[in-house]
Amino acid sequence: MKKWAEVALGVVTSIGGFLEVGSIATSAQGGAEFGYQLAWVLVLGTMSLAILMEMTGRLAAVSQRTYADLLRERFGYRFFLLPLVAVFVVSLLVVISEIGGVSIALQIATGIDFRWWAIPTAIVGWFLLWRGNFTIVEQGTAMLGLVAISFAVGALKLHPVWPTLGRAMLPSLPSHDRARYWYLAVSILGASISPYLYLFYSAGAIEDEWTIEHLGVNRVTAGMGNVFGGGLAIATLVTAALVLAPREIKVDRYEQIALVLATPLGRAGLVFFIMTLFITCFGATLEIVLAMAYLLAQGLGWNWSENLKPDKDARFATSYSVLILLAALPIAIGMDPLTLTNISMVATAASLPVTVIPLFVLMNDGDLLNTHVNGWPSNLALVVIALLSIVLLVAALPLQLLGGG
Amino acid sequence: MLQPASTRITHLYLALTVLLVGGGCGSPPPLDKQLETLASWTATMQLAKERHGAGAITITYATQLRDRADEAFQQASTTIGQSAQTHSDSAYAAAALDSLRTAIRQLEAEIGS
Amino acid sequence: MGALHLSHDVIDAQLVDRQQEKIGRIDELLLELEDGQPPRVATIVIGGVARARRVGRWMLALHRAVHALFGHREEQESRVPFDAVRRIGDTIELDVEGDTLASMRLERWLATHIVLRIPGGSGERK
Repeated sequence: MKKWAEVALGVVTSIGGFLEVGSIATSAQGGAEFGYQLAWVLVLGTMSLAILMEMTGRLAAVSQRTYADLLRERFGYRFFLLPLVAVFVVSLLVVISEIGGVSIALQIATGIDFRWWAIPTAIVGWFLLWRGNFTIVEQGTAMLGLVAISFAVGALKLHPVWPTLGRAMLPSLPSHDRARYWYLAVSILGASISPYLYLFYSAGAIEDEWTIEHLGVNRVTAGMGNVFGGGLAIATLVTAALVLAPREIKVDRYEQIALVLATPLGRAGLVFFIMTLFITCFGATLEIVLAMAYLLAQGLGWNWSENLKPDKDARFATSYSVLILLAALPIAIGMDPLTLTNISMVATAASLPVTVIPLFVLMNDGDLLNTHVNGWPSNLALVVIALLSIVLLVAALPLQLLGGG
Repeated sequence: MLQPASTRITHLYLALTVLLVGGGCGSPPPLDKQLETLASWTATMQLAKERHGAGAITITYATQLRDRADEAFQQASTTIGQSAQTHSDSAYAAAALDSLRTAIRQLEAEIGS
Repeated sequence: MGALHLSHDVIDAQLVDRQQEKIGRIDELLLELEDGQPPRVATIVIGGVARARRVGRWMLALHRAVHALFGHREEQESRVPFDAVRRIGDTIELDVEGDTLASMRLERWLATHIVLRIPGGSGERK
């Protein structure tokens, strides 16, 4: 019985973890400009993330070591600097965007300009991290994040054309604006496959004291959770495709996105949109700064745990405190959250090889995983994801220049 | 046909410069992009007016949309002149700006500001 | 226990002290060379300078510059005799008190000067 509660919880967590500022913004832009056509990118991103989460979760449950810990120990400090710096830079960009998302939600609700909300958001977030424990961060945001289901309700009420949507699950070439299409495809992949998600997930398995008994929970969480999470991102794309695309509205500013729910669901839709944007971005803010502090602490061998009082892991606690306050500054001085979001998603996509490729080595290490090493289907999938990540690295900069406008 | 290495390098730099400038570092976007943006904001205003009429969105939110559209209008009215090369281009630009202005006024009338 | 692979099992391994508190990683190992004796693994080095040295000269210069910026004079580096190793497994246990190590100075300073001054910084499990 307890197992099923954990499974349910895990699924809910990944829903809350999947939909956040990046997915909402890029899916809405994709739907507005290309209708259903980019849905296949969300399918690809969701499947890749599910596979990476299952593997990092299995690695942590069996070896009792986090991914960041093993990245340092098995690959040495010189190599470790590469993922450390890459993940730090992109995660900082993403967390700034998340604080931007929270601030925009509060602006839409109150009319008070978003830049005033950045610092208060960071302070409340810091307080929760300082006083709260891992369960509060993980489950609190997950439970509240269920409001995101309103996107699915909105999409259904707009009566999508199912066969057309079904066909969009397979890749197709655009009839116009090729550079923009591929730019959005890369952004959507960056929003779906974020290194912070699997670094957080791997540390979470240790925080929640997972053992080999939890491999089933891990598989269901990574699989089902991402199916639901990815489903909601597709719902966001569908609402934009049915509300914005026919009117030829492009998403140039965050404020326009709220119309995708206010159109099918009326006043409740506007309220649900604000709540979804607020809660999912706030939850992601906490998870990303924790993921960055985990990476630093585990890589350098400091004491770490969100379940310890800050004086027991002073460097870890100081790290997340400094990071969350630092991330509020660019929004507080008025940088445009949507521009930041788009840049961070492309940067995330470009950063993937340094965290995806080493996983292949670890997942085939019998010393760590005994009989739970990757079989050939898992290895094949990981190779495909690694190749995809290399393509993203090469394509990101040219596409940012050609299609970013 | 073989070219001297220096020529090839110059071409490479030229291509890179075109890429960077074309990528939006400084110069205004081409006319068709600006027209698309104006049309997009005009449609946003019309949708906002309709949704406010149906009671779906608050005045607070509608006002923010109006402000963003206003910013887009101001920006386009300073840059679109440079992008319009011919008489007919200018006519299109003026018409697009005019539609957006009208749509903004109609939303303002709807929300009573 | 048979052979130990220094680069696989020892360098970069997580260190814990007598209380099982995490006290850093093995950033560098020093061999002792004495006349007439075979070289032996003698010292574990923990600290940012040792790490920076592994990356390259530019990293070392960067590391020193950052420390100068914060007005640090002494190298915050610990050298622990290899004899202090009590257990080698997923982590390596050293027979030391973590709080006495120079490489833990930042942790102690942050705990006493920052964390304990903020409400909720100490106490039992959260």
